[in-house]
Amino acid sequence: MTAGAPPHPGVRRRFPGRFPGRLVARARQIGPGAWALAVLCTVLFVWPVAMIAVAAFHDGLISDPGGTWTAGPFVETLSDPGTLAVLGQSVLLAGVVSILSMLIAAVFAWMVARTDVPLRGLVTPLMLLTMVSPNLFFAISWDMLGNPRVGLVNQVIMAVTGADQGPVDITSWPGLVFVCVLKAVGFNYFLILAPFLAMDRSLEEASLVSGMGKVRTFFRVHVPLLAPALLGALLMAFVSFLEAFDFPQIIGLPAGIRVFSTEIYRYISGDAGGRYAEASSLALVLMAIIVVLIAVQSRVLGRRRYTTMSGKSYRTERWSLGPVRWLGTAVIALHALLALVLPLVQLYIGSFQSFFGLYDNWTLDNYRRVLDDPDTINAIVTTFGLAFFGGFVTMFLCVVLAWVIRTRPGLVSRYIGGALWVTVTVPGIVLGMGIMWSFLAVPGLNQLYATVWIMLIGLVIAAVPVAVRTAEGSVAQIPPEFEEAARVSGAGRVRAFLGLILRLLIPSFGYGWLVAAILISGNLAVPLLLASPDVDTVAIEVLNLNRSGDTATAAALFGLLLAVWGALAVLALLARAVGRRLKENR
Amino acid sequence: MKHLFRAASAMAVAGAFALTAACGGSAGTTVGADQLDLAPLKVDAPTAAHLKDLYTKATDGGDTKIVAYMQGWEQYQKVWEAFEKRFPGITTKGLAINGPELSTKLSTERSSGKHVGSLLGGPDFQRKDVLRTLDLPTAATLDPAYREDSGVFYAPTTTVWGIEYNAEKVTGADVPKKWADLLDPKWKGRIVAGDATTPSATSGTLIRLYGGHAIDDAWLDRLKAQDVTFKSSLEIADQAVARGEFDILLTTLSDFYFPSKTKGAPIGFAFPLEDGNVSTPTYFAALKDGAAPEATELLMNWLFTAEAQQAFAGINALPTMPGAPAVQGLVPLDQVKLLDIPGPEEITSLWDPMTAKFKDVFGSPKG
Repeated sequence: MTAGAPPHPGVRRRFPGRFPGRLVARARQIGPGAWALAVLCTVLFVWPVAMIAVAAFHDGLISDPGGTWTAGPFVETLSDPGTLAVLGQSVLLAGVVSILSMLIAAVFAWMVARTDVPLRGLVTPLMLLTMVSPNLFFAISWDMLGNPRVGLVNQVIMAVTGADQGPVDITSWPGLVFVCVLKAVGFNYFLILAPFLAMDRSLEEASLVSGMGKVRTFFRVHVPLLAPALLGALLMAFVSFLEAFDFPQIIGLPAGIRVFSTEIYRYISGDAGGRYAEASSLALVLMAIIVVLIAVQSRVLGRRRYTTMSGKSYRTERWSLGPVRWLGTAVIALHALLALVLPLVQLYIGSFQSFFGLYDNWTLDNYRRVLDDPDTINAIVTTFGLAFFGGFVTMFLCVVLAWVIRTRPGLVSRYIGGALWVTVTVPGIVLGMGIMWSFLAVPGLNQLYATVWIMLIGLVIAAVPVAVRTAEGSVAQIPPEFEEAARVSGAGRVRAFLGLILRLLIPSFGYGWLVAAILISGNLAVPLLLASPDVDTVAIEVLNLNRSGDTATAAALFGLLLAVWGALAVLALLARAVGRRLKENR
Repeated sequence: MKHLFRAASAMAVAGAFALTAACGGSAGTTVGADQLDLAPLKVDAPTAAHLKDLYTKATDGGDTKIVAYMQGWEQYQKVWEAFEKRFPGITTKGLAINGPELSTKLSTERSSGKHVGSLLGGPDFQRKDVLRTLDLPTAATLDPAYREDSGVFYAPTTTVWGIEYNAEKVTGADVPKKWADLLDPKWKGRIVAGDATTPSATSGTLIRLYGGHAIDDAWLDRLKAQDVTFKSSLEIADQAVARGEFDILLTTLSDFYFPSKTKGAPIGFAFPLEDGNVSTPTYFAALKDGAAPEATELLMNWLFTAEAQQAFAGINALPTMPGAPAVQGLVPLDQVKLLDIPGPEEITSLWDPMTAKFKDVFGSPKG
């Protein structure tokens, strides 16, 4: 979901400097700090993408002096019928998933915002959990749940019907779409909940008073009013699943479904491996499509005004759905069952089986194996180290950049906005590839290859699109005058920022940090190309275990990761409660 | 607010420490070479001195982490543990890659100048251009069948191939006794296999069986009619038989069968087969400019000592040195009808045409 964030508003503005002389004059006014930030953004966000473009026209590894420059692989990739098939399958997956998930998310948002459905209060926490759970969790657990012979779902169906084989096979088109939709609903829900809650209800009231029924009001008032928000969210979901990797790799590939990200990986390290120029060419095509989609989104939503709030208050009561409201409750319960309860149950059941699917041979050996293996422990430590430190670095970077964009309008802030926007267009697997090409090509920097630091850089960049949204939202609440006041009082620019602005942002900084940490810990696509035998993450270990058929140990390892996250969440809540109590007592 | 700020800073610092610790890997404590007990290796004095010299060089340089690129490395985990116990402070780690993925890994390492891998392992003479020759005194008496002439590849163990079956579903007379039995219509839709369409253990075995004339084009065509399900790896196919999804695994190696059996899987292994078997040596070779070169040479030497050969036998992997212990559960190789198959270099040259043929016959794997 890294591409779920919208482009930074700054990118819609045009570069004002039309004359070289004017540009040079303005460039001279830019301070060293701003230059440093611009260079940092170039290195982190622009350079890897540029290297992908360059690598598309280089036969062999980009850093290989024996390679030759050629447009051959690029032309061949574009004219290959296989590329068209990949494009078709990618668009089909992204299209179906985004539409279905948006419809379901809209129903949930409507239930929460406008109806009296019992248990609607559980929807937001449920969606939050769904949204922050790693893609890999859904992919692995549903890969187990939907196994035709030994998955829990089919086991229950077979026990009830007496059939020899269950009807559910998750490694199929419907299965892949189903699991992707489960994950996407949570994300889309948060994209459209605010417009649902903020909707001007006077129009709804007028519609009802005019004699329209609730159903006609929904379709003729609610839907048109919310269309822009829904369209924006739809495009974001489409982009996210156009670049999806985890689900297609684990659930799609066994069914012969090939999408852009899995094909790019196949060109680098899969059975068609070593075709670096072809991989880069495919990545360029994918990024071009995403750029066009985001441009369309910005144009469509940027030109029109969509007012859904008014100054007057026309509060209407929640719609009473009568007995139908229990249907809403059932839908909420069903979603909770499918998105959280069943995957968790299957994951932990599988982790206690000697072989996944053997229901009469329970054991703790999988956990023992995980905890006894120093390499696995190392992967767990690395994952949490990357999550906490990387999450911190990501949020700090995003807050600094968001603050610069807000308080220092001009050439540099527009450039930084543009550079941040680039990260939205780069899928995880492409980012991993871009970073690898970038660092391999530079003597000195290539020494970072196969270290944890190159992986940290990749994961930070991958988390930026989401973290920057949190940072922008929180920075917008701080008036720029605060910094000026601090400077008038004698503080330098850095001290004013660290001592005042950052401190004021701590609560939202913490939230953003947590989200970035969770994203980093579950990221599979970026580390896949950057991991080494020395530097591994839990996601890579889980994928390798799953790929080698040791599903039960993979489940134990992932179960352990989730348990640690759960324990940390409980500890955080406890600490918060104790803190409040102490404050009250004081 | 101040407390929050401090707590946040502490967590970030803890994260940074965790990363730094992760960077260092999991190196153990080393000892002086004179403290090494090499008696269980049963090597002569000059060889023991050579091994101690390698250990000293490895530990003095701090280059003690051996990284192997090899499919199935983890099957020999107990062997690696025995080595690490014998030579404290030297650690081993395997990465299950081969084929194009291995080539990409080696290319990026060469390109960056950062060599992470130390050695390759596998059934074929692959990537000889990136490997170095070694003179292993411990392997002086190794049968030439288990070594390559130029001194690059050495095989301390060999594996045999057979047909795996789910012992709860296939019993008595139904258990296949020869490769031709797999063509019986009663197995239609009930056979699973590893991926034969890419260079893999399964395609390697089929190539050898084909080269040894145990199977031919007609056999492949009839097998296609059996609706065999091909999985992306032999391990996944093995698990599918263990949990009863399929009755028969087309072919698997003893080194995969025994670990699953030990874990309690209800499986059996049809071996030897009446119409002939294949034995595939598992070769090891050290990478040129590889990481931990002295430690790697030490491991390569140790693999042919009495202790290592016993360790292989202990996990039901056939050791190759003369006089090595027998393996429980396997008929000794001298009592098995082994097929006359092409040599490793010829096998390597057959990968592309044969996997293309298998792709044509079987299509793409599922799962």
